[in-house]
Order: sequence, then structure tokens, then C-alpha cells
Amino acid sequence: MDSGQSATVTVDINNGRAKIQIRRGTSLLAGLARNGLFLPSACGGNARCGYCKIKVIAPSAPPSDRELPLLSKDEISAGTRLGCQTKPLGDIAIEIPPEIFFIKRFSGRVTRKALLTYDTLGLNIELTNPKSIEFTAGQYVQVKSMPYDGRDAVLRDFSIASPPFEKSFVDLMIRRTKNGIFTGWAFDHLKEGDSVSFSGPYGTFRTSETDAPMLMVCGSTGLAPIWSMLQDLVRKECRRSIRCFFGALTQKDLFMLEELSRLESSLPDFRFIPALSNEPEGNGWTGERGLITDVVRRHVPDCSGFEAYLCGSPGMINACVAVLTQYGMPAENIFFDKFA
Amino acid sequence: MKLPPHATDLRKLLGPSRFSADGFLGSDKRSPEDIIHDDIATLARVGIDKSRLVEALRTACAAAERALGRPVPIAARVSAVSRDWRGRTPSPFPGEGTFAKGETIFSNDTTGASFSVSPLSLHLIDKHGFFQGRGSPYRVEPEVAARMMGMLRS
Repeated sequence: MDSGQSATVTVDINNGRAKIQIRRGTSLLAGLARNGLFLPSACGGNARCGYCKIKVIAPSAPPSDRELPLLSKDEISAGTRLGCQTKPLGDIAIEIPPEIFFIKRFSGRVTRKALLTYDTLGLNIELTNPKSIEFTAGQYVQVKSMPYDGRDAVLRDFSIASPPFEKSFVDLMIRRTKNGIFTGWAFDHLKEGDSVSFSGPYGTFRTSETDAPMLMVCGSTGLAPIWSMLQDLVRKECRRSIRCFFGALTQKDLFMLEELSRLESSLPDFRFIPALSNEPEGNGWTGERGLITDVVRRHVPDCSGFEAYLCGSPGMINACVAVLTQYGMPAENIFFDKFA
Repeated sequence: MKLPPHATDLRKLLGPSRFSADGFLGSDKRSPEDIIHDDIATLARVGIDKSRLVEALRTACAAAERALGRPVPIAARVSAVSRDWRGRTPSPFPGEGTFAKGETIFSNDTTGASFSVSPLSLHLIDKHGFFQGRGSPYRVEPEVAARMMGMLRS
């Protein structure tokens, strides 16, 4: 280091909202975290996950080769960089999503672990430090697993299924992934009473403040943020018209049907419509059948006045967005949390 | 077919990691370069171009994804089913981006043969000719895949 250079640099965040000092040459991901600002990250700062995006206002610098595949053309022209690869050697001005200022690290204890289906787990985590969380229905947390069987600790995202007015705990829904490191830990090693750490809340998926009728479509653990929203809407005595579709392959993939059906008596204009796309005939299923997009169209032939809230697999979201826009819903009225 | 020049320790790069519990080599003792060489030689022997196979797999995966988990017919007695999970997984080679978590399972209803393709495994085949090591969950035997896609006579 040149003798005249300071060992620290100043990071101006969001046009003066915060100014922090970090060590010269330290990554912004690490420097911000040391100052209590937690960018999402799943790879520990190795330019692999692409979660820790920030916008560099000045001085501008092109992204490195390692960053390029993780940034879109629009992001590159807007000055977006990966926080883990941005290592300022001088003062720098950056912009981060405003919700990052509210993200904290939490410790908790698993108070309930139960299977919701053969491949989906429900976790209740009581917060121990800090003891309460502020979030908006629809947001997610990033949970850290513990090492097991020679596998490293990893970070994975899960939507909060509990409502925001329940501040002392979070409920999560976790679906087992094939050879999943995190889900292997959660399903096979994590026990009730174990400590868990996570950060959050993250994300911008949330209900609007309008009076527009709502079309909710989810699949599998995509129910988590929708369930949080619905409980919140009940608490707020929401009078909006709500149609909630829960798509699955077969009956064994569905869960929480009673809880969801009960909302029909808690909300003034709510209908819950579970639908199966691959349930064999003769298995006693009397509900809707078919692809979820076809079922939605049958129930809501004119969706132009609705707002849509979608959460599930990329395939389901893409199919729903295509159908809804084709049938007159403005793209700006479609809100989703794609699992990708 | 060349692997990235900066990938000096390929076995380590392609082994188990925080993003891939099993890694990409399975129980295969061959070097990654040899795996690639052998698989490309197999394709050459049966007269199938790698890019044609990739295109056929990509088209079939897209059809399965559109069916949202329902099986779709791909070729005679062969069907494909798509599953996906939350999140993305990075390529083991730095700088190649991330890929949606999910898979398409191809099954021959008569023989019981099956293999799985993920967005990442398809990328590795397409970009590097890397069909993964034997024993890896996403190992694709090139000749079996070409046969099941209807590109070779059974």
C-alpha cells in the first residue's frame, strides 16, 4: 500500500442514508456485513450465487469476467455489480435495496418439526436473539444449515409462512430437493430443540394497498408466502375479493386444505380452489382437475380487473404469467415470487 | 472439447461442494478430460452430433416443463417428467452463471431405462461436452440418451 493511502475507505450508501468505513480492498459484501448491513449471499462471496447485487454510483468500474454471467445487460448498464467482487480502493458511493437496512441476523430454536406431505416439512422456529422480527407478508429469510456427513454449512432461502403479527416466531415450509445439502440437513438431522440461525427479512413480494380483487396461485411450498398474506388479510379484516388456487399433481402433494378452506368463513369474499393435474380417476378426488392455468381460466374468465399473486416453480409462474397477460391482466398487476 | 483454462484442479472443482452434495464425477476414476473424450468418441461412433443431442434434450425438457409435472411423450415408449425446486445452482466453473434447480426425468416404459437432465447438466454437456462421471446423479450416457430421444434405432 502507498504510504499516503488510508487503510480505510468511506462507503456512501443510498445517497447519504448511511456512511460507513471499511478496510481498503475489502469486499463490500464483507464490509457491509461488519457494519450490520447484510446483503443476501449463498456462496460465501465467491461470485457463484449472484445474490449480493449492489449498484455502484461512483466511481464506475466495469464488472469482472466472473461477474458478467450473473448480471443482465440492463444491470451492467445501470452499474450493478456483485458486492462480493467489488473491493473499493478509494471512497465509493453505492445503492442497495432499502430493505437491506432492516435485515438482521437471528438465532432461534426449533419448537416444532412436522411433515406436511411426504416431501414437505413444516418448521416452527422460536426467536431467541433478537426475540422478535418485523417483516411484511410475502418476504423470505435466508437460513443457515449446520455441517453434517462432511458437508459444509449452506445458506438457502425460505418464505415466511407465519403472519407478520406473530413476531416471536417464524414458520417455514421446506420441500426436499434431490440430493439437497440443506434439505438433507433439515429433514434428516435437524431436531426439535436445535438452534437455527437465519437472516432477513428479504424480498419485495407483498400485497398491494389497493382494493382490486386478488388472484392467488401457488404450488407446493409456494403456499408459504400466500398463507402468510392470507392470515395477515384476515387480521386486517380485508374485504377484497380473493380467489386462491393451490395446484398440485396428486392428493398426496396437497396440504393445509382445512386451514385454507376455513378462511372462506373468515374473509367475506374468499374462495379456495385446490386443483390436481395428475390424480388418477377413482381416487375419491371431487375437486378441480387439470393444469392450474386452465383451472384459473375456468374460474376467472375475465381477470383484467384483478391483481395476481403467484408463488411456485418457474414453470408454473411462467405459464400463469403467459395466460394472465393473454387474458387481459396488465403485467404491472402481476406480482410473483419465482423459485429461481 | 476444452474445459476452462483456469480450472487447474478439475477434480476438486467437480467434486462435492456447498452447491452440489455429490459433485459431478460420481465414482468415476477417469479424469474429467478422459470422461469428455470418451463420451464424444461414443457420439462419433454412433454418428450423432453433440449439438443435435443437446437440442433434442432441450426441446424435450421445455415440453416437460410446460406440462408442470405431468408426463409427456417424447419418443416411442419414452416419456419425460419435469420437477423443480426453489433456488438456483451455480456452474462448478466460475463465471458461468447460475441455473434453475430442477430436473427432467426421461424414462423408457418398456426397458425401465431412465436418466435425468438438469438445466446445469444440460449446460455442462452443451458448453463442455461433459456428460458427468459414472455414478453421478446427473450422468447421461450419450448413446442411451440418443437412443431414448429417438435419434438411434433401438
